[in-house]
This record gives sequence, structure tokens and C-alpha cells, in this order.
Amino acid sequence: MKKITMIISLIIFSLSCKAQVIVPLEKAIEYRDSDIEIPDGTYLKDINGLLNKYIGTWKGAYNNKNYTFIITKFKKDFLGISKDKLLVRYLITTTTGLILEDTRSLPDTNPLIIEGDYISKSRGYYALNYFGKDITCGQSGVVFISTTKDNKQMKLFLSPDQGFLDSNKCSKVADQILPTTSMYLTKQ
Amino acid sequence: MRRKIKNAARITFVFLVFATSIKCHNDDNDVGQTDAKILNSAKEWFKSYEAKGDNFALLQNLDYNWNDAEITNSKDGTKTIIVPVNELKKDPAELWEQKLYIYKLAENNYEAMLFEIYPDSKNTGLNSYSIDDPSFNGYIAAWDLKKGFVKTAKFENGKLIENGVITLALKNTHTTGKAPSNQASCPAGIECDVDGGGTTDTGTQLKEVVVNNNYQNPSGGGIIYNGTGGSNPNYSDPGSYTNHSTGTGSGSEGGEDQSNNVADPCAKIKALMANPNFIAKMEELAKKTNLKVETGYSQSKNGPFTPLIVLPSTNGADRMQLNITSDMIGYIHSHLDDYQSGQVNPDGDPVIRQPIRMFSPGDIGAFLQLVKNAQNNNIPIDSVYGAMVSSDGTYQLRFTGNPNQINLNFNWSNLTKDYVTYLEKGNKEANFLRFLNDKCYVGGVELYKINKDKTSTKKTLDSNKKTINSNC
Repeated sequence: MKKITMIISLIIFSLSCKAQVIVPLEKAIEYRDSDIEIPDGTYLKDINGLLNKYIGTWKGAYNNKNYTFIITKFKKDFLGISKDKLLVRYLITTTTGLILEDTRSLPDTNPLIIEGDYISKSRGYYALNYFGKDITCGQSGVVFISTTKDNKQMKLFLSPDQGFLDSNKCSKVADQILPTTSMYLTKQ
Repeated sequence: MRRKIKNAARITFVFLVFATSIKCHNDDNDVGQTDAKILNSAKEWFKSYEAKGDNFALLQNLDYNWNDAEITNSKDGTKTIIVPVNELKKDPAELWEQKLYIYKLAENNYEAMLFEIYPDSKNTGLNSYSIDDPSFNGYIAAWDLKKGFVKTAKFENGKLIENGVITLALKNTHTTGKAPSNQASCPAGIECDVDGGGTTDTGTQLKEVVVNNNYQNPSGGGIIYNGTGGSNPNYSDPGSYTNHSTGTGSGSEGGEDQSNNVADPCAKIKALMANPNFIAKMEELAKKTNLKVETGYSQSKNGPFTPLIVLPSTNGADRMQLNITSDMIGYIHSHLDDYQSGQVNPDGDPVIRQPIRMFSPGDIGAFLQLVKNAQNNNIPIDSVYGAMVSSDGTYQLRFTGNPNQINLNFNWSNLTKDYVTYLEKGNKEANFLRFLNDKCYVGGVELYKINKDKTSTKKTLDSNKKTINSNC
């Protein structure tokens, strides 16, 4: 009797558990391009390790500013799905060492942390969403990163967002603190 | 003789006293009967009003305690029936309470408003948790049973110190995390993910939400307060804040026939699509989706279109602005095709920017500014539109909610991170609607797709959060 109860319990338990479907992370762009809903229970997993080459600390200089980007990988659960993503924290200083922005100690969910979105169809670059402190007046966009073949250098730039700015809050478009043309960074 | 007169006077006095006491007794009975009549009439009206159409998801099937209802006069003199609610609380020790206010405007003419009262930790005495106490500290929020949030404010020592806005942060059905406890402060920059969506929800959580149906979200979430500043001398204390005249209740019957005021977005879209000038702008913008900058026009109620103001940037990503005039009723703008960013990766392959071809939070904010502007200038709300032309489709936003709920100080750009998270899930229409449902503080923002034959289709969500198409 005990065994029967246990078997029935196991059957009920297994039926109640929705199986997680693992899909390679690089397929995310196909869902986006085809406007197809990612089914609940899907885990877009970096099973081919395409994000690993970006992980680490990268440094470089651009337009009289020094940049340090610290890139980590994490699994985000949202809206019924899971997805591997990169998170980018950054330190921006002037050439004299004055700190212009420092997000290195902020928690993962802080809007200032740049958060990954998709690997391009060609797999040649990775797109992340960026929201700066002055997002209200235009400090936002998509950050694109790509690496050289030896993975020792990384190319990065921000493609700023477009659209409406609130006329009650902004009289001009905010200056960007991230480079809007490509800069090279060196892996530390 | 004198004695006879005295006796007659005594008898008359006794009779008058008796008659007066009988009359007073009858008057008492009249008052009791009148109160019971008012209560029954209000209850009957409310039951019928509640049963008509959908109610706001969080106010569905509340347990009204009619036995403890009381009749009073608002500070402005309006006869008001206050009905306590047996609140659905996760923890019975939670202090917040709900009260239904039914305002009797005339015979068979009522309006209803649901007030939520959230006392805070500054209250020390037992009575100070009540809004009737002159030293009440906490928050009061008013809700329209059909449309949702109306107004909210913060009170200290019985005085209104700040108006605010309520955001519903509803948990996703697949999120298992528990919302923070009552009134956990969530200032910007501090990790506080009330809705479990993976992003920070800024503000003061007033209470955990328990949703007792499956429409919005079975797993609940939180109600978050954000101060917007300002006050109003006409309702500076809790008593006057719950007055009829200081809020916009709904459900008025009798009196003015309101059937003519019902918004009909389908009819308005049809009329707009019959306007050759609008069609010309739509077709022009459809040819400009291959540019690298968005463009568009605003329209005034008399018809003319004006190019949207362009705010130049130093990096080619110019932005647009609505310079709102008193007669402006709509905007139409483009969202771009995928385009080359002008940058290449180390292999020399071009990097492609892939814009989201759906209304952005900024677009919603601009649209709601126009709705509020229309209300302030006596322009019919249902003539206001926001339009977006893209290679994935042309859409319009329309408003059927309560314009009094629109908060012009609300910063829509702060929702952009949430927005991109929703759109990452895939289908743009469904996830835009989910974003509206879960994150938009004001109800009544509707999405319509303009079909190739110039007809339109209303997009809504079913209980499984799939898109429903309703042709206009």
C-alpha cells in the first residue's frame, strides 16, 4: 500500500512539474526577428559558451576618458523564461583620474548595470541594453561588443536610442558618456 | 373660574408635552426608516453597478460588509454611505483597510469610490490608525471600481503633505519570490524587486497585493507609492480627501445621460483613416522607415499637421519632442527598419541596429500628455491618438480611461528597462500589452493595429495573456 501511495505521489509530482526546454542562447535573435513568443519554461542557455570570451576586466581610453568594463555572466529568470546574459559594470575617469561614473559596486538589478540582450545572427557581436543616469534626456541605447580573434581585445560602442523626449523635462539631448563610435579595450 | 383656567392650562401643557414626545418618537422612527431606505437604495444601485461590465482586477469581488455600513455627510454636505470591506489580507495583522464610499448625488443618482487607507509606523495611539483621527499618519488611495487608480496622497499629523501616484507591481506567474513586507522602502538605486521581474521597482510599497481572480495575475505583487509633490488647499485632510467633489467617482446614474460620452475609439480611428491628409502623412512616414532617424508630425484639432520638433544630438541620434499646443490632438511618427550603425566588428562585418517596432514608454508618455491636454482644453478625449508607422505594422494608441489619473510628472523613461525585458520575451503586441497591464499606472490605454485595407483591429489580452484581435 505504501509503495502504491509513493508511486502515485511520484506520478502526480512529475505531471505537475513543467519540463524546462533548453534552447541555445544564439537562437534568441531568431525569436526576436520572427516576432515569435518564447514559450514559458524555455531556458536560453549559453550551451556553446559564446559569451565566455567577453567575461573579465577590459580597459581602454577614448576621447580623453579612461574606461574599465567588468563583464560577468548570469542567468536571469523573467516572465516565465530563463536566459543567460552578460552584465557590464563600468568605471569612467578623466585622464587625471577624476571619476565620471562608477557602477562597479551596484547590484545586478540596478538600471545602471548594462544588461545583455542577444547574440547577432552572424555571432559576430553581442548587443546589450544601456540606461544611463540621465536616461530621461537621452542617455540610453544599445551597446555592441565584439572581440578580436585572439580574444585579447574588445571593440565597444553605444548606439543611442531615438524617439520622444519629454518636453517638460529636457531642453536638449544629454551628452553620452559611453563612446558612440568604436573603441578598443584590452583584456586584463 | 381661575381654578378652571389653571386646570385647563395644566391639561393643555401635559397634552402638548405628550404630543411633542410622540412627534419626536415618530421623527426618530422616520430618521431610522429614511436611513434604512437610503442604505437599501444605495446597496441595490451598487450591486447593479458592480455587476455591469468588468471591474478593475484588484477590486473584483470584494467582500462588502453592508451590516456595518454607516451614513454620513461628506464635509461638502453630500450624503455618503461608507461601507467597510472585509479585506483579503495575507497576514491579518496588516493595518491597511478598504472602505467603499457611495455618494448620493440625487434620488437614484450615486457615484462610488473605493478608498484604501494605509496607516504608517508614525501612528502611536490606537485611534491614530483611523483617518478620522486628527493626527492620522499614512497614505490614502482612491480607486475607481471600473477603471482603477484615481488619486493618492501622503498624510502627516492629519494633513496632506504630498500627492502621489500608485504603481501596481504585479508578480509574473512564474515568479516565486515573495514581495517585501508592508511599507518596505525601495529608494532608487537600492535593490528592491517587488514584482519579481528582475528589475528594481522604485517607491514605497504600501501593501502586498492579493489578487483573488486569475485575470491579472494569480500570484499578486505589491502596490507602490511614489510621491509627485504638490498639494491642494481644497482637500488638505483625510476628511475632505474622501469628499465627493475632490475625486472622480464613477457609475453615476439618473441625472445626466452619460451614454453620449462613451468613448468609441473604433469610430474615431475610422474617421481619422478617412482623412486624406492623415493618410498622406502615414504613407510618407512609411517611406521613411529606412532612414536612420525617426520623424513625425503632430496634428491640431482643426486638421493641420506640423513636423515634430527635432532636438539635435552630437552623435546623429536626434530626438523628437511634442511642443504641445492647446489644440493638439495627436501625433504620428516612424519607427525604423534595421539599419547599419556605421560601425563594424573586428572582422569588418557591419553592426546592425535593430530597433523595436512598437510604441516605447516615451511614446506612451507623449500620448498621455496629449490626453491630459485635451481634457484641459475641452477636446473630446476619444479624438486623441498616438500613431506609429513601421515596417512591422502601423499602430494607434487610444485612451478610454479616466484622464484625472494621468500624472504628467511620471517619468516614463524609468520604465524603459522593464519595457525591453518584456519585449525580450518575443511577440511585440502581446508583450507590449503585458507591459501596459503590469507597469502602466493608468488604465484605459488601448492598442489598435491599422490594417493594410485601412480598417483597424483592437488588440487585447485574454486570461492566458495571449493577444485577442477584435476588428473595428
